[in-house]
Amino acid sequence: MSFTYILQTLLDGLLMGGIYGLVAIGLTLIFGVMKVINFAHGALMMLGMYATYWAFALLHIDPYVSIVITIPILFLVGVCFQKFLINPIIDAPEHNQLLLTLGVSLFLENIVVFLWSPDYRVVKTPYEFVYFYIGDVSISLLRLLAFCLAMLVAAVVYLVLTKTDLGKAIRASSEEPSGALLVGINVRRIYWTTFGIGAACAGVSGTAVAPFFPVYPTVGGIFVITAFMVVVLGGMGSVIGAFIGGLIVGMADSVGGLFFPGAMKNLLSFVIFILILLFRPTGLFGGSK
Amino acid sequence: MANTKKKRGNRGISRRDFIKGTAAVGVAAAVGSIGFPNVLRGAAPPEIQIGNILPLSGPLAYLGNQLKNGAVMAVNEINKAGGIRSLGGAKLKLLDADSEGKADLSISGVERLDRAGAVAIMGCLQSAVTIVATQVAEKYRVPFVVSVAVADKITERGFKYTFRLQPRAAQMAPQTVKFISDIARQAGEKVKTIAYIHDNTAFGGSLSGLVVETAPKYGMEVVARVPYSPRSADVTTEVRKIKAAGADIVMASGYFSDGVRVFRAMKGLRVRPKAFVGCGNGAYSDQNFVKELGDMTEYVMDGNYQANPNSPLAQKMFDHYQALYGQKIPPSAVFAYEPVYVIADALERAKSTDREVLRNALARTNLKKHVLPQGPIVFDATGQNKNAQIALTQVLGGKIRVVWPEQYAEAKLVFPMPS
Amino acid sequence: MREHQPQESCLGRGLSWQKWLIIGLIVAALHFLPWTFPPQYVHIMIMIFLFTIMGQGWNILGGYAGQFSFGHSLFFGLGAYTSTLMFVHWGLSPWIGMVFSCFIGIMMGLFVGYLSFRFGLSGPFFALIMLAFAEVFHMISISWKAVGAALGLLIPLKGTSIALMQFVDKKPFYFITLWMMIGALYLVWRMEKTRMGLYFLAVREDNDAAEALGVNTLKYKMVAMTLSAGLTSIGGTIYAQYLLYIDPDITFGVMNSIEILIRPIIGGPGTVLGPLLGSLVLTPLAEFTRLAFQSYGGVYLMIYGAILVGVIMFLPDGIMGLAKRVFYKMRKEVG
Repeated sequence: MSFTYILQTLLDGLLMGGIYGLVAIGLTLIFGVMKVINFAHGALMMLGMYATYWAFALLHIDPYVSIVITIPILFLVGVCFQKFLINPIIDAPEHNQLLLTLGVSLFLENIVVFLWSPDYRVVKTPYEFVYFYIGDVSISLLRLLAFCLAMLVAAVVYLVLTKTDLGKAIRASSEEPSGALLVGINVRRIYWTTFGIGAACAGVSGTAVAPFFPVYPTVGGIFVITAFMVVVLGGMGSVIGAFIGGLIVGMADSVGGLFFPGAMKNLLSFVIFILILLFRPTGLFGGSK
Repeated sequence: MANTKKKRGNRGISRRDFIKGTAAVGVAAAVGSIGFPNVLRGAAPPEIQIGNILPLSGPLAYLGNQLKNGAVMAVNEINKAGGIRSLGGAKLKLLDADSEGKADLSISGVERLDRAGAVAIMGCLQSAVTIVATQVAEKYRVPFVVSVAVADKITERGFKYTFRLQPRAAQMAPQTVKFISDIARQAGEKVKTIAYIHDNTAFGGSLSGLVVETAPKYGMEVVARVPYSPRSADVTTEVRKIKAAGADIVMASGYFSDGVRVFRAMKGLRVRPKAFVGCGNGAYSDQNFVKELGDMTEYVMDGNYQANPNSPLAQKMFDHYQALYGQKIPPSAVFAYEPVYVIADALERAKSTDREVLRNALARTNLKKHVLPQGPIVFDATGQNKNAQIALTQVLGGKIRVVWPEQYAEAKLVFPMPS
Repeated sequence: MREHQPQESCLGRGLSWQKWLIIGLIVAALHFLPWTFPPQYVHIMIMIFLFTIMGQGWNILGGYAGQFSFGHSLFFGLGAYTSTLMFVHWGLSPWIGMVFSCFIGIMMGLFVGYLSFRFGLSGPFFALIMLAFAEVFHMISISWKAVGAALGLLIPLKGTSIALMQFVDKKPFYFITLWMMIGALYLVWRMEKTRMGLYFLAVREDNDAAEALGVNTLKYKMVAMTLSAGLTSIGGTIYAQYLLYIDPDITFGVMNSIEILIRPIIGGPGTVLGPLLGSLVLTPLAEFTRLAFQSYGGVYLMIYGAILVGVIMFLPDGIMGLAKRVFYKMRKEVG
């Protein structure tokens, strides 16, 4: 196993990890603020992928450009989801919320099967076979773009959270909802806004991977489990933790692929996940934002 | 002629005679309608139902529906030509059962078809599904003619009701390896190493295992054998291992969409062997593979079941499919088409829709009129088509052409791939 | 005017003789069903019974002890693979294999349970760690040649044989699953009234308070896990023998975990009849929509999702909760 091979593997993992990070950011926001574990997060990402695919197939819009469509659509979906489905049961036991989001996930995945068939769809961009080479190490343009997009969105979310009033309101609502109410923050509004942002993040990750991942109804399933692992690893509620956690899980998957064949390559990530759950459930950057 | 007429009185036929006569005719009709169903029931003879278990939805729906098209076309041709003559022109009717690509659904599929009175069942495209479905068919004693499924296990269980038309893995894999060796020799090229990427189901697993075993007999060695999960969307890790192996030949086995994905990844990562050779690859022999990926597919070869391009009967089939579905019939559909004819031929000889009789007729099949690149279709004791033969195709000028063995070739092959 | 009837869930009170009679009549009627209904209905009943058994297993841990597992397919799969491997390799009768299945399932349950509960995992974290373990075994079973890898395991056809738990006809499986289900229901019904059952409820309602009051919550969670895992594993063996085929997806798949837990949730978590009611609604629904929408494989899942959302939002106590409310309302009116 040559040095280039290992380097290549780590690089692949890093690039993919950025995507995991972006998916996880959405999830961690939602959990951090509302303490809701959104099982439907993968389905939201899938919707983003389909939105990108249809924009591409019907309107011939380049996938990266279509985030201007994906973001508002997914934001809206997130808002509706929170307002009509989650809000009514916000005080119910946690596992009920988990089950609700599971139900939504089942529903979304399968209504897509019904509407658009389970066939794998492909978004074919003209630049899909562009690779950069550093020596013998190749970097796919598409994956690099996806990574950059993920970093960009993550940075934007982070800045919003730390530098804007909205961000402060979000953080206040998550740390101390009653206190936030007292200070005049419309916590209800913050809840659905945050959910919208989380959903939009999922949607953007969908757009980012659509050019090189096949689009099909249950594609979200792979990502949601990974996203949970990332969120737990990074620490529920920490945006930085989610991104870094994503990078770690991405590389663990890649490295795992070196040693374990086929379906087992995620074994390493799962083991890490289980260990974190047991020994450090607050994650690497747990608690804070 | 002896005078059998009764002596008539002046009143012609007596009432008693009339009643007796009518009664006789009535009894004859009753007996006849039991013993000669088609002659005396009048109107249309009953339809003969043939079950067809395929993945009509789910990730393999594309291939599944192609197989369905092939079968539908065959049924229509047979019916138009008069149906099953020995059964009074009875028409064939196809009963679909969607396996959705899942083995457990094929179980209920077989049971449903059995209840509906299917005389035989065809299917299932996937080895994993077929292995299960044939066992259920064996349990209920329904003849099962495997259209497409390559795993050897299917005909290795001592089943009496399972028949398979397509070449099995133990025919396909060694034949492909031999062909590679042959064409290398003919081109004066040294081929020593093979890197094999395959799906991790019974399909890819059985083929690759056999290639690993057979390669040394021809002085070659499989230096990398990389399985991937057909459901995993990202195959970069696996393809990197293939690239790292740097072998002379890259072989690949998989279904259509994963075959396409893997090939794209290989091209993207600049895997550059002397040739890409599929083994039973669901993508490489399909014109849509070329359509989706364009120029990069040029020179890709596939050792797979095929129709015989030099057979006039096959030519008719090509024309018919093209007219009906607007594309060249993919080999998988050929192997959904031919089994219908095999069953029809067996029905003709069986002169009965009884499953036992049909089963025995199938076992004695010796069909010379067919579209395949082989001798007569004869099933051995395990139910396998003895003379099954694969052919090597190559994408040349954007068209998939049979290039080997030379007796069935329609174009000259190019080896090694020009860089 | 009828004299006051004791409520079913009161400690130490039994069912009235009228209720026993009704139950007896229903069970007797069920015995005639396989001869009066066509085989596809018998199949549906078998599936209902089987998933009730496994749902009841989940219910003990989730509904009663309040630990929601999203990975019960782990036990189902271990059960199915254990007995199947023992039969395929050593010719061991699946009846004995079932005992091993139960044992292995329980061992795994104790292992995961100890890890989780000792480290204080609860709620969604527990759900996720169960999911993670199920997924790990899913991956192993796909990749490991010795257990058939992705191809799974085919149980060799041996015709009808009681010793080998194989039957060409469906009726024997009908009765096996029927009586196992009755056993499982009875088990939980009795468990409800025991001290152990009450402790489960205490853990569910408020783990810390229970701990403070001296209840060994770790111990009782482990006991619940044991019963839960054992019951589900047995279901795995029966399913394997019925289908004569298992593969990683139908055993360890996430969908299977969902199928197992959704029935008690919809039927009524923490109730005896919950898993049965859930099965009665969902199983026929799945089978019929699958037939009706042949090429749209996912329709029944869509309906599952919608029902789940609806139940969580409007009927968090499931069908049993609704039934109880209606029942009490009626009794109030009667007097």
